Amino acid sequence: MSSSTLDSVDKPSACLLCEVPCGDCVRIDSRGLDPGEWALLRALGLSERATVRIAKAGDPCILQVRSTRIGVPAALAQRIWARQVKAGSTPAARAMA
Amino acid sequence: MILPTSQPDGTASPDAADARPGKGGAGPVVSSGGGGAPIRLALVGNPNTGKTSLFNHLCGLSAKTANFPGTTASLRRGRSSLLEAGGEPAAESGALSSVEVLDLPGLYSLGLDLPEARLVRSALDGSAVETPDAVVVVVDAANLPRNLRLVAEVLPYRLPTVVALNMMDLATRQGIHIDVNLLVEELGCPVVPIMARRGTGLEELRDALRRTLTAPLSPRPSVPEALAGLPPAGRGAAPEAAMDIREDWAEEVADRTAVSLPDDLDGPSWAERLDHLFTHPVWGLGVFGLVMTGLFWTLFQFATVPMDLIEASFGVLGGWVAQVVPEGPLQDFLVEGVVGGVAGTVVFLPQICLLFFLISLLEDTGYLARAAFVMDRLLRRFGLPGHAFVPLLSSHACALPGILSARLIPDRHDRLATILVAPFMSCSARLPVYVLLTGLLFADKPLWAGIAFAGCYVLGALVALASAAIFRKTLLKGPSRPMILELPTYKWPSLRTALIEAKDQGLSFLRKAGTVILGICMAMWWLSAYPETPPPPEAQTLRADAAAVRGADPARAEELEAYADLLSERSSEAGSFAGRIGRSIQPVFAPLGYDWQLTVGVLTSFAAREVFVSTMAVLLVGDSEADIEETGVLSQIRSARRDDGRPVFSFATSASLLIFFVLAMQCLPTLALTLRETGSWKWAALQLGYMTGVAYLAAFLVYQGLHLAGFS
Repeated sequence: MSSSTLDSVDKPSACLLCEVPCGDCVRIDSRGLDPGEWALLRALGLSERATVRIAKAGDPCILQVRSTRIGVPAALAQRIWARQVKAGSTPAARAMA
Repeated sequence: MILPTSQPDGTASPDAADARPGKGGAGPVVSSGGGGAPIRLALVGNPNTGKTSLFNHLCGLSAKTANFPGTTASLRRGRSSLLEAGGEPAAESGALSSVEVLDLPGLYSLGLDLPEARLVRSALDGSAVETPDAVVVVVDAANLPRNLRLVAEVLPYRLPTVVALNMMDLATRQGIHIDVNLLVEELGCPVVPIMARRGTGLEELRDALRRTLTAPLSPRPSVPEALAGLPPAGRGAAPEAAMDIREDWAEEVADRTAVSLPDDLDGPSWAERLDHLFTHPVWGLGVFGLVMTGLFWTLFQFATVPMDLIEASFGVLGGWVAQVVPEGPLQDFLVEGVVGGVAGTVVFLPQICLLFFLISLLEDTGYLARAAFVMDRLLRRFGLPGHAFVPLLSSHACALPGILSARLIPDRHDRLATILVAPFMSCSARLPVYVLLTGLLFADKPLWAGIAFAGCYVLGALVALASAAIFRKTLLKGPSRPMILELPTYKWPSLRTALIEAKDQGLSFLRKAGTVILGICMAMWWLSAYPETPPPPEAQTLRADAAAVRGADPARAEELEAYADLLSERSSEAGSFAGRIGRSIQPVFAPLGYDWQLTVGVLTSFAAREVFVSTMAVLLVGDSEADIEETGVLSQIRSARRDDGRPVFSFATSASLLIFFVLAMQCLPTLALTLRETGSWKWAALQLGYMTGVAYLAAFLVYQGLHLAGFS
């Protein structure tokens, strides 16, 4: 597996979605995804600004954004970069905590 | 307000002249007098928002499934009345009494490069079907921000729009309160809270649609200021920027109009525990196995009775026709060609309807989406996506609906691979053949017969997976798109939806397969009946002997007559066109252990495999209506002899035949559908050639192996 932090990223909390434990909250971005995959994730509500809770880690990885639950296979979760949101740092994260 | 200067596809402005009232003119959609083309209403919405429930409530049993013009995608159309319940019809209500409702495919965004998004765009801009007169966007009240993004994409089409705010009960349970009046102001169109599954709010929805359709259209429906001037979803120089604007607008509107209690945002924990169980690599597979076992057990238990009733009914009908129509070619044609042909199709209806009823129930509970991920882990190893699970499962009833449901698979190579291997799944038509051959193989060993029967299903599935892996590594190379799937909320299934789905699939099967199978059965009857062959001398002698002993020994006379009939039927079949073709091609099938009679059976079943049993009954018992499950008939078939005196159904031959029928492509309607769905003769020819080759090779290896081992 590739290293969990890109050298060029200046946000030390960035990691792959597959490495985020169950129950944590993150924000994801489009690096590592092709345009079609990112468009579908955005259409499902997983934008870069959305707070996403990891409802289940592993295969599939089940993500929760608001009341939507989305399953992504582990192979995709290994390509999605995420930045962990500190507990309580956003209203959504506080609500999900 | 900035008015768009062109339609989303770049054609003329909506303000250009259009003869239909309301389409570009100032008048209402429904003009007084109610004459003219029917009103068209389109239902749009995210998947799992209750669009189908709403459609079923509005249209009931009047729905029909047809194709999008020029495509293979299906579109459900129905009729509904928008007249006020119990009120006096107004002058312009004629057209409102029968409104055409189009159930467009569920989609998350009009901007996605997916088949359903392209179809809905073409429906809304009028390039595929006539532009609807009004649009109902079905919105999940418990998931407002995401659903409002789709509303933001639909509003710029400037069609009269009503938002149906569905699942209000679910929203209330989650502590979400929506200010509907404020939402109306924000969207600039009517918003009607409904609960489609219960039928609540539908009168108010019809009322809103009546007012929308009878209101003057000048000025045209407004677009919220934040969205005005945006390019159509998925187009324009900066689609990402437009998506951001729509997203911001949706979030802001949702924040202003919906209030939710924080504790309910992450959903009930029991749902999460179920998700963990149903998608677990071990427990999930176990649950899946249990569910599938239960499904197939229910299918075989409950479909048998109606199937037997149908067979018996058609038997009675055939008998009545034989009494009413004088003996001769016309009677034969009607009884064996027409009645036999229709019976041969209708007998599968109970299995097909029941399987789709059960699949619809499972889907409605939300379980199938979780099962798709369990299957995705397995299917990915063979180059198939988890989406292929439902088409392959459906193919166990009949490959036709299985191949049709492959339309939902987003990736083209995944879709093609699924279509090519779906016929390997053991379908209903193979069941009579399996029953016959396993009964012959394991005469007094029901346990072994049952194991062999189940083994046929497993073999078909394994070969399907292996074939998919081969195709994805050779002809259909390329990466598969990972499966991203929304997991719908768990809920009690709707019996109404499941019944309507079963009805739709049954009718679709009758239309697609019924006409072809009936034609094939009639052609097979003709090939097997002509040219007419006089009875052989031996049969004539037997009849004379029967006449001589009838008075003294009626039982003996009956036996002699029955044997004379058998010899006459065999002679007739051997002398027929089908028999002659069978004899000439028999050397090709000799290495598989088949004589000319079995060759005729295999050849006739290439068009429709279910005719094999009746062909065998004609050849070996002398009666096409013989019940192969009757011990007497089975032992007659088992004791049938070839021309050289050896048994027709030796152990090795029966095993070889069984393997052949598990793997061979013997269904003309399926081939025709593959041609249509893939758009190319190449794929249909590949399917026929590949499956025939695999079946021939496997049957050859089984026969020769058993023969060498002394199981002849």
